[in-house]
Amino acid sequence: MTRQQISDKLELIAQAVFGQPELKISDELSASNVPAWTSLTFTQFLSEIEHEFGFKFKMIEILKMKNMGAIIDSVLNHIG
Amino acid sequence: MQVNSFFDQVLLPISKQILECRENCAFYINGVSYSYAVLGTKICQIRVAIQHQKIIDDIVALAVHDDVDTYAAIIALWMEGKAYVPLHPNQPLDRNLNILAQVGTNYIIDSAKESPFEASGFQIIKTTSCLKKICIEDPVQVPDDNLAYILFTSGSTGTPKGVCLSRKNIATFMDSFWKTGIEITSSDKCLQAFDLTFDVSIQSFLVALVKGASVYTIPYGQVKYLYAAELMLDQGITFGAMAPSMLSYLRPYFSEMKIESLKTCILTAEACPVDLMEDWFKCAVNTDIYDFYGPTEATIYCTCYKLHRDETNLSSNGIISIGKPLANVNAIIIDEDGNSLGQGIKGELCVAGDQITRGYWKNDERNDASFFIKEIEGELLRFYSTGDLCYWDKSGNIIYSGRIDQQAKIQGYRVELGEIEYHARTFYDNNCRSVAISFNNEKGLTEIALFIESIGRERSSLEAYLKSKMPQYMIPSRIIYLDTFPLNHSDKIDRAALKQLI
Repeated sequence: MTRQQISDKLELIAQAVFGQPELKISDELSASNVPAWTSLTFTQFLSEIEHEFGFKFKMIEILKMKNMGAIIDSVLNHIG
Repeated sequence: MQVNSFFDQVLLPISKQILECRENCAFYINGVSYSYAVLGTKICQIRVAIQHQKIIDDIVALAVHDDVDTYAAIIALWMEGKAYVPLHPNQPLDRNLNILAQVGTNYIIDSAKESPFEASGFQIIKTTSCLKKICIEDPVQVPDDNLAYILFTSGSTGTPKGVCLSRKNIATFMDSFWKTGIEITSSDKCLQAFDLTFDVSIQSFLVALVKGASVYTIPYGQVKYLYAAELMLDQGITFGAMAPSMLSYLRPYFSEMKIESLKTCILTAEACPVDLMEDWFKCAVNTDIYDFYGPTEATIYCTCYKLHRDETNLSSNGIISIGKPLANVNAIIIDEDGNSLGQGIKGELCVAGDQITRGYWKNDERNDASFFIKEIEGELLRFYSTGDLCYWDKSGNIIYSGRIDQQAKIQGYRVELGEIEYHARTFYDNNCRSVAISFNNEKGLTEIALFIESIGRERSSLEAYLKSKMPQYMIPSRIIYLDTFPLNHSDKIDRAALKQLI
């Protein structure tokens, strides 16, 4: 699966979890520019990604997830 | 019992640390350290700015940002004998303007380059424009009955209500806090994980600053529990207060974490699950854990339970006891007729003493309903009714059993469900009924569901409206439309049946 394909899947998940059907994914997207990106919704977002791709993130990976780009890269590392 | 003054317990120790611990880190904010010398300079500059403005108001609004200027402004206002009202820049402007209108102040201190309040005609004191002139005057001495801050919390009528806390309230709280036996020194690294509109933030930075310790904050725009974990793992946090929900988020990863530096951890602002604490003990291997309880009206905390590692801790229904009253707090549990209840009988927890607020800001109706005088052992005491359902355990500890009203705790924030219902009804021009219900999700975290009995289905418009009126933590995670609400045998809305639909 390519980075773009992962990004497309994460966009759909993000739109649902953050309650923003128009949300467009970019590498710079983060809690600082998405008000609905809270502790609760971020946890839900990670759970949905884990469910979609069939793996579990490690704490050390999550700590590095400063923005959407880092999340996409982490998924890519798991399934790439 | 007479305790030392606010001047002796807060202003003097901070002034002393600024002089004696000049090179110590006072604040670590977003990866940058600010020494006590820098903090002292900032405080002085803001004091000069306040003096130049010749502010006659006793209460000044403060736009609270995660920066050293904001913390310096709090201390500067106190040193100038004034109180502050925090305004969170990420909360809806409508809500902040409502708070400003209630308080009636014309002045706002703001460290932002562009203040959102400028357009509304307020006098903005920009900390970024303060003169570099240094003020070395001693703090202004004012009576301890003067206010120190007003915190606005969720109000069931749709309007935030202001809780007034005096200098005496804080001085008494500080005395109570140190009497729990918790110790902080100038080498400690203290976590400040709470918004400055929430009173645990005041404990988080104050007990550090009076001891010359360092305060590590969580910047806005961060996932709090992740940033806190990073600070604990990478920066060696030694002391911290946090909400149990923060640990609930981290719990799936406890087995990957070994927190060795943390000496003292306070869990507060929410009910504290015993199984979560057992797991946290395994992860925080050198930590003393305390469960602190307290409504804003009783100045941050009023009871405390110290948990025991490798022993059974006092709990009920999986929730840790909230412990015994702090040194300067008198607690009773009463029935509906105001009679004190003995061991094992559930009633409303009421607290008295010099930590108790003088009342809500300009809200006689609420004050009449929330405070009462009762004679205890020959002394007339003024009690605050907490709305918390509790009972005394045989050990003299208090067991928390829930709320007696429709208030919920979301990520530690106090939320009047009635306020959410009010705004939902207003959106529909009062042509519908609405019910907000808190529930625990599959991870044990509290969320809010909003039920609407309406012909309308404007979900996204309703969400946008609610976001314009309330902070993010009050926005329901689920909105459920029903043609008609289920009723119970008394023809009232059956909230239990609604909860089953979540």
